[in-house]
Amino acid sequence: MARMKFLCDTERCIECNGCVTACKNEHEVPWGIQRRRVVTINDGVVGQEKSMSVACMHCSDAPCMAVCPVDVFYRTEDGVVLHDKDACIGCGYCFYACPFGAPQFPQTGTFGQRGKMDKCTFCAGGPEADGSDAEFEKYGKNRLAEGKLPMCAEMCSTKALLGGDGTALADIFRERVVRRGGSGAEMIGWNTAYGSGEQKRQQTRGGDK
Amino acid sequence: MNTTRTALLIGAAMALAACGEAPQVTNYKAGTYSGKPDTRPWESAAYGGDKALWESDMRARARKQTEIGRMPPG
Repeated sequence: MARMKFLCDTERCIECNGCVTACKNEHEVPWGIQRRRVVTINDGVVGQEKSMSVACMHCSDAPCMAVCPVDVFYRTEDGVVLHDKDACIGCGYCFYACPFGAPQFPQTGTFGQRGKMDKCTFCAGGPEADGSDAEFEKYGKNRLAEGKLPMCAEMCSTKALLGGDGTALADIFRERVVRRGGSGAEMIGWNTAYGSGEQKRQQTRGGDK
Repeated sequence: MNTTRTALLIGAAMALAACGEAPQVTNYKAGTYSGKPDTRPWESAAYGGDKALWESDMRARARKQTEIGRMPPG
């Protein structure tokens, strides 16, 4: 059984935002909603700049599911975390629980109140008839039902963003790492996300002088 | 006479309209998905329930995301 996952190769992401544009265009995502975005760390620091495309990671043990007071989330057999917008009350708990900031809320009301939550669906639609107008309006296109993978990953020009069955993605990433001559740990991990601590050490040394 | 009867019938219908209103408060069960059921991707018109075909298509599609192995070594 497939377990759908995203994987972003930070050695390849060039912050072109093609994935963001592809997602917005494919699902006609309204203004102000960002189902996917590109995050850059160490922006402008030569040799240390890294970009990563982030959206819902379709967690195996999803915190949004755990905190939802009205239980609108469900996980499909292929590991995609989806929700029923008709039952969502827009409380925003999932936004606070999500470590990736994936849940988005339209703020089109008079007093800026939250609407129903919107997030990446892994291009799997939602609990409406496959390919129906209702599904497209609420959740966007259902590409998985057409035998296609998420648009953001398939559109990625450098193939930094990969989407699909976790086993297939792991095989692709392993091939790349072997070609680069590394073990894999240096490609994506603690140091990539938070730095090795060298900048802090430099600051401390500068402060001592 | 007919006009009065019609007016009375319309009035009675309007007065009793709220009596037929369905309850709008959902009965939630904690820890249980409360939304509508969803179909699986291989149950779409394109696959007609053929899960094996869908999975093989997904694997083939995923392999298209790597350029390694596309060109023969040479």
